[in-house]
This record gives sequence, C-alpha cells and structure tokens, in this order.
Amino acid sequence: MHSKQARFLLPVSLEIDGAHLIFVGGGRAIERKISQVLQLMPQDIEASMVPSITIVAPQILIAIKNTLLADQRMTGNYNLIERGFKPDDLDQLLGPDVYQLVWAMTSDSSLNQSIGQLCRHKGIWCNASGNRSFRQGAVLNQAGFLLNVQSLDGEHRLDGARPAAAGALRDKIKEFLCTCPL
Amino acid sequence: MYMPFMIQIRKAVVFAGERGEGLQKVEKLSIYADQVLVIPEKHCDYQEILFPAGPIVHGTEILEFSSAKTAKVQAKIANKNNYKQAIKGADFVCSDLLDRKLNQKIFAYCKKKGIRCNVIDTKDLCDTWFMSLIDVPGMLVGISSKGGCAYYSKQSRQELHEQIRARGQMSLALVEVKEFIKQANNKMDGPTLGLSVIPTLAKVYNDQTFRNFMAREQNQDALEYARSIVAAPTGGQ
Repeated sequence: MHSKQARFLLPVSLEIDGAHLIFVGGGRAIERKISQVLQLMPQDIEASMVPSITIVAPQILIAIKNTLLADQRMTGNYNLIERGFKPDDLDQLLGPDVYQLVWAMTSDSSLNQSIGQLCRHKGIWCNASGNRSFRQGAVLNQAGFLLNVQSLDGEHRLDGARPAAAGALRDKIKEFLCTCPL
Repeated sequence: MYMPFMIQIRKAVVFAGERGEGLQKVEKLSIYADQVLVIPEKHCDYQEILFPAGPIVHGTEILEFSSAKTAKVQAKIANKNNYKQAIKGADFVCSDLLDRKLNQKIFAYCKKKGIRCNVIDTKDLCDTWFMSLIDVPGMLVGISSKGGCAYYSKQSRQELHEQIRARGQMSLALVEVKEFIKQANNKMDGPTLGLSVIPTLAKVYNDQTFRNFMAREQNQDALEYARSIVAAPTGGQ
C-alpha cells in the first residue's frame, strides 16, 4: 500500500532567492504551484532575488499566462516555452551556481517519471509524480510563520494522498494562530 | 524568500562540532535521511552512532525512531583538505563547526554543487532551515519562524501538538473509511450504484457519534460505526 512514494521526507524551509524554477506542464496543477510561489513571494522583494520561472509545455493555460503577466515582480523573470519537453532541455535551461527546482506535472505520467529520473541523475530536486525528491504540502504563510502540512500513510510515511486533510488541518492551525491569545 | 518543502534526503553530511548541536541534527536527520555521515571536529573513537528504536530523549520535539538506525562516523576529522570528499554524493549538508572559514568553504562548495546547506546559527551561511516538527501518526507538520523567533515557533508547536495528534488519528481513520467505500462499491452490481467517495466521507466525518468515538480515542469502535454508515442502504448519502 502506498509503495509508490513510501519514503520519509524532512520538512525544511528553503531559500529560493534567485533560484530557477522549471515547470514542465501547463495545466491546473502547474497553475496551483505557480500561484503558491507567487503567494510566498514578498511584495517588496528585490529584483535580484526574484526566482526565475520557466514553463515548458505545448499548451499553457491562459490563466497561468495572465497570472505571470499581471504580476509586476515577474516582469522579465519568466519564460514560456510552448512545445513538448525535450531531454536536453534541462541542460539548456540550467545554469551554473543557481539552485534549481523542477516540477514535472504533465498529463503523461511516463514523461513525468522520466523527467524525475533525469533530475535524480543530475542531482536536481524534482517534484514529478511517481518520482519525487521534494513535495509541497498545504502551506500557510502567516506573519512570523511558515507552516507546511502533509498527510502520512498508515506506515507513517508521506503519501500526500489526502491533500484535503492536510489543507483542513492547515486551516485549523491558521484559525488557532489567529485566535489563540499570546 | 523562503518556501517550505518536504525533501527526500538520500545522504546527509553533518560536520559535528564540539558544541554538540551538530549531534542533535544527526539524531533528527537519522530519522528522515536514508544515510547520515558524521564528520567530527575532533578525533572520535566511534565508527558509528546507534539510535535505538523509540523516542528521542534530548530533543525538544516529540520525535521517535520507528526502528533502530545508525549514523556513520568518518575516521578523519573535518579540515579544509577533506571536506569536498566527505560531501560527495550528499544532497544535504549541516555544520556546527567553530571554524568559520571552513564553514564558508563548505557553504560555497555546496552552493556550487547545488547541495543544500545549513550552518547552525549562521544565517549568512544557510540556504535551508530546519523546521520545528510535529510528527504524529497520519500527519507531519513543519513550522518555521522564517528566520525570526525560533522560540515562538517551538512554543506554538507544543501548543498545537495535541490538536494535530487528534487530527492525524482522524486522517488515518478516514483512509480506512475510504477502503470501506471501495469495498462497498465492489459489492454493488453496477457502476451507477457506486458511492461517491467525498460525500460519503463527509457524511462519516460529520457524524457526531463517529466523532465522539474518535474524541475518546475509541478508534476501532469509530471504524466499526463508520462501516455501518457506509453499508447502510443509502450508502451514507
């Protein structure tokens, strides 16, 4: 049960100032991830600290394009490549001395898996269904707090199979943090 | 800008200084990483550190080893000539060495290699921060003060722990209920009779008797009761 992702993962907070975030896929899942990144980004972030975003997909949701276009912080910091992913894309896109994170969330699960393997081989952290070296849980970004909630399976390993449960708990914690007297 | 993630660590390297904080990180990382290598600051006779199954005694968080684990200790002590070799193959590095120059070299090398690094109590040599953890059956929560007041995040973690433990139990119970729904659907004759998962889960979750059982930690009774809801002629809907 849940063997596909039966691994322990450690919650950490990563600095992604100036990092290169590569998203393969242009659907709803990628839209959510990009929204999460933008929500976590301070409004007054220095231009040099803004992470750059690249999206590779034959079709990219208009909502994603609009979101990036409307966000002034992202002006000049994103790149839309509207075609299918090629294996040498990572070599082309990745630069030296910059942290990279890759999300592979296309509708083709075998492509996602192969991107995950490619990243693993290159030592790049990747969130690809079936081959994840990192996950995002339900995130709460509150003044003074950053919170990450993940559901675990019965063997106490991360499965992420119940995002609704993680989200509900996140909301409860938010309520607690907002209402509990100091 | 910080983003919280859950990361898979295949090999963690800890440069363990004399302050002892590095060893606390070794303990924590040994729970979550596949492999931990300790590079001591001073000569050490141990070849490995054994962590028996059970709770961590010294930490401030309520964490435990589900089974015994070991962390290897490198025979050579940390110095500027061997740190690169030690880091090889790592995906996370932590240091509490007192030698700032060596820490700077370690951090710069990690950055060059794309390896995440945390030098304890040295913000300018960190790109990754440990979160304060609430690790209970069914749920894992990381809390960070975003580089602010770690004391406050720890306090909040303690206050939240009990609530989250209860929610973790609920989360696990609902996984079982999902299985009941699957089983009930398999017994039915045609797909049109199948139970919708979310409404059925909601019905069980919002049932006061079910919640009372869970609140009293009578999980088995709660599950039996949930099974009866799912198996009812209306299928809980």
